[in-house]
Amino acid sequence: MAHAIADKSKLLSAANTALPVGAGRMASLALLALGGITIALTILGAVLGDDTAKKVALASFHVGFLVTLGLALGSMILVMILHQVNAGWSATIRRQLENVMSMIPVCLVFFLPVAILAPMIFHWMDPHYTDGDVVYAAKASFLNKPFFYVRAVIYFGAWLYFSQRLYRLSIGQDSDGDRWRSAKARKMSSYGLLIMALTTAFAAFDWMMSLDYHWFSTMFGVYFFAGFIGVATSLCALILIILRRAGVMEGLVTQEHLHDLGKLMFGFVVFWAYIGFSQYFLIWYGNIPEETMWFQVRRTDGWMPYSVALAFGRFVIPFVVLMARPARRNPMILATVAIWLLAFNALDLFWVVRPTVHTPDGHSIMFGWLDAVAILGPVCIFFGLLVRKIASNPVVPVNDPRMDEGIAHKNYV
Amino acid sequence: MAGLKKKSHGGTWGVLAEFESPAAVYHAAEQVRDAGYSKWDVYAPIPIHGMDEAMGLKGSKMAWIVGTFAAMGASGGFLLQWWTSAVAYPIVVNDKPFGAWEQFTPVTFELGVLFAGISAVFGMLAINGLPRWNHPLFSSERFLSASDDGFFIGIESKDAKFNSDATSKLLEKAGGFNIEMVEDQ
Amino acid sequence: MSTVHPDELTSKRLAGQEPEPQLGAEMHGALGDGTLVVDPAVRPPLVLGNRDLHSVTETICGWAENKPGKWWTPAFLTANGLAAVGTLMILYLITTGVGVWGLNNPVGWGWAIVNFVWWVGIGHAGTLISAILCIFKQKWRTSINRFAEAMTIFAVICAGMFPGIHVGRVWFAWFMFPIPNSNAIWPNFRSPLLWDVFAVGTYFTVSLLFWYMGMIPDIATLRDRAFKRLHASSGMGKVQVAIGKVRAYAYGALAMGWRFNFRAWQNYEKSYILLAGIATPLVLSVHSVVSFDFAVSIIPGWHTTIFPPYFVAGAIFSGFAMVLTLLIPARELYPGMKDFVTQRTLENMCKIITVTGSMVGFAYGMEFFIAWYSASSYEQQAFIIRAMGPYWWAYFIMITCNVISPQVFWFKWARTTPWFIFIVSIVVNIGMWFERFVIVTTLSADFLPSSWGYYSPTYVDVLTFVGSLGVFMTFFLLFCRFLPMLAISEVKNVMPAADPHHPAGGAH
Repeated sequence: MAHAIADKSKLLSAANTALPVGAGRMASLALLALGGITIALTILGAVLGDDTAKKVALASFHVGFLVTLGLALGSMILVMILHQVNAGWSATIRRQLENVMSMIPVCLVFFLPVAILAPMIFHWMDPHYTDGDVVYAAKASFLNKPFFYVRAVIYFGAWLYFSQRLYRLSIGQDSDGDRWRSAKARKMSSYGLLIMALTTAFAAFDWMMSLDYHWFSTMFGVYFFAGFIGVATSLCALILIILRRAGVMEGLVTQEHLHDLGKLMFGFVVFWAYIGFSQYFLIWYGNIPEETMWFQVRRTDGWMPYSVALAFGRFVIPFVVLMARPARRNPMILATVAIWLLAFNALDLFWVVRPTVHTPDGHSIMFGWLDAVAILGPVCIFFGLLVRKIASNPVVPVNDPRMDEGIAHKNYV
Repeated sequence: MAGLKKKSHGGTWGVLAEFESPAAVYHAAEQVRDAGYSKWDVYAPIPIHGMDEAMGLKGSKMAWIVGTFAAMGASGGFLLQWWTSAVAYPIVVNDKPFGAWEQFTPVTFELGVLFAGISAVFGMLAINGLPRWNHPLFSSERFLSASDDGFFIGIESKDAKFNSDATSKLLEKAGGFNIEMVEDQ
Repeated sequence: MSTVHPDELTSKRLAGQEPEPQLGAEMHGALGDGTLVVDPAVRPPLVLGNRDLHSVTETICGWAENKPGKWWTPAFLTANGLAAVGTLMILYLITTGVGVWGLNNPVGWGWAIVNFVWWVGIGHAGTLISAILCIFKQKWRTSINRFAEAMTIFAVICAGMFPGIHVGRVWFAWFMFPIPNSNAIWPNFRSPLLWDVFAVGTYFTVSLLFWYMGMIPDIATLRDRAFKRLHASSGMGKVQVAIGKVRAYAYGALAMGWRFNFRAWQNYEKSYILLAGIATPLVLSVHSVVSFDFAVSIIPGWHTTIFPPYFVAGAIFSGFAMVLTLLIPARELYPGMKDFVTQRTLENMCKIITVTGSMVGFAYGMEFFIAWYSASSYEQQAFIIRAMGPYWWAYFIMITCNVISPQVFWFKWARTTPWFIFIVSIVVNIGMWFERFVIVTTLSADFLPSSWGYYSPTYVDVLTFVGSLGVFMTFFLLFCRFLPMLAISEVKNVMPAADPHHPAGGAH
């Protein structure tokens, strides 16, 4: 095995693990410019439009924020799981998840306008809706503005703490090679996952479920981790495929790693469908008005095509494609499915958030150009900054104690 | 040989050689593959990883079998439920529409899995030509250690390139020992 | 090939070829029994005791071939006795009617359903260990998967018994299947109880096939050894030869002529991973369907959307606990088992118990929070009654055993002390039984206070449950006696001696 160890130093040489200076700058600038333009258009559309247009712009901007947050949180949960289970195969892919995870501060910036303008779309903040509403009165001790903001501070506090600590442990290992940093990361991840489960679930209640504040579902939090981890895996696969084409990671991230990421994508497509179907199905079967109203909106009023598109796009089509082993081992197909899933995750969040915005006389408003620009704004800026982040560090955690296992990884069956 | 009858009908099934280790049988398999044999096999107590490459085998067809049966089970299951609940015997339950897909999902899924599971096991047996009561190889005393820690290569006389001397030599050169002719039954 | 075997670094370090990482003194000792180490660069070996392939065969087959310890016969007779009691209770039930149980109005489901869900839940660990851990390439699973799958099969048999006898007129049980009949009526496919029939039936079939298929190569090993013994039987008496023949031909029939050729292994491995792939969603679906029994109704406390994943987490939780309950004594009773079922295995299982216990705790919390948040007074009342009503003690046991007790495994000592793990595993089993009891007795206080009631079991309920434990143990002891208890070929396959690219496997 002597040659294997000789190979290793070559594989981990700077030429194979660091992007050339200035790589991705054009892509980053283009994305940031597009983000800037779309945000300007959003603001323009909102300022010039009527009250409804303002609400639409904010709700869709909120969707854009949630898309970026989902990618960051999903990546963070995945990093924690990989640390916690002592995974060896993932040593060479983990850095890309860490890069996405470290973008939480950007998400915080996107959250600020939503938080400030929240009463426009969160009806429970609006006395016009809540006056004399006994249902609201019963939950007012949870759904009130001060507590809403306190909770948001707690969530972001926890996320910033864990993401930055884990990120620094990994980056620090690149320079000092201290393998005990991995042990520390593992220890943090154990209780970290517990905190992540609670904060993500309650954030989903606060920022999505409470948009329709009469409605409730115990599964709602789980629905989002399922979706988030799935898109985080897709994004990771996409980044790796692009980096491989850029000529780094030769022999570090192979078809075998992509195959396993493809399996995880497949697994989370199925898991998301399982959670989504169970939630819908139990409510459909129980048929109690206070629960069915949420799905009622999404099955009528023009939202039905969106629901059908979601079921096929977020489950049936990727399920069929990823079921084939050759598809999971083919970078082009995998990248296509990854982009597809990222898009349909955005549709999922749009489908959850946007039907809560109505015209003053109670009609639904379908997807329009304002929605498109409002979602694209935060998403483009997020990706623009992510590209710079990826270029700024070695593309793999070069001193990870599990690197040998990561390089040797192979699927036999 | 307490009560174990061994009948010989003459003829040779093929030649069997033993190898020292997984690595030895792995490299020997590469040589047999390169010599162009087609009716031969590696016998080992474990599925040696990477052996499919060493033997030059194509991938297994199991996925197609299982996939087909899963689709049959699921679609058949759905049709069964839809026909019994909406056509043959429509009764009002819970004010549910007779043919709504939601209520049929659990059983559709289960029947898909049931068919897939059954086809995975019986399909595997079928394409391996099992079950069978006996095989010429079982008459070789040494061969019984293939289920313990023995590694073997057997080349059948049916193979077009088979020649008892040349084939034995090839196996010997590849590191085989205890080379024996196995009689057909 | 530039592959490095995952256990390579460890074995090199143990052989002194690579510099030893700086470990604390206690770490050196810990490596000896396979305990997990904190050092991320070190993996404890999977199989201890410097074993080669042959010694693995000898040890594992030896358990099935040689006479078991003195404990086996008394244990088997006790299990038989309990099973006989259970059988009598079932006969009494069938001849008399379900009135012999403590069911009443409003609690129309009692111990029978609690036992059913409990057993099905236990039955989930086997498939989880074989399928899900297989997909995640957790090699430590190879030493326990056979054991856990056997447990699954027997647990599902016990589970299936309860709804079967609960229907009252068991001779009409065939109504559950879509069989054309002269009345031209069909089963109601909109009922969750019918979904259960299909889900549990599929689960049993697929688990049985999975278990059996995994065993084919190992039974073939037993077959070959039995024939070898017959060949060398010159000194044996006639009776021994006859017994030997029965063994050889029985194993021979079960092994289906398996002869370890790679072309067959290739299909076998593919088929195994496909079965693992379909068994994974199957595990999830079965307990989800069981949860639908409750959740599709509109009973407060039952109708909640988190039920499916929450039931699945609880099932895995209780199943792992049951595997540990059986595994820890077996490790002591069977010589050499500790080389395969190492401390690492136990520790990993303890961690899974903590994770799933916490998931269950998360679900309990969510249920409570959403019951309050729903602003529905019935929903809120159901949970207040659960925690503070007449069954408060059951709720208290449930929370203590399921949420609090698994948290002890945060401490290394608790994860590495087998007798302590054993006790906690039993506590978890009790807790999970009570979880189902708490859910079922939610019926005792429904929408109208005037129809509230209290449910207590009769001796028939209790003895039927005890009887199911007897049935389970009877099957399990038979399995330990005659079949390969550990997956021989799978254990071999994770050893360096099986790797053609490893020095131990003959590579240069």
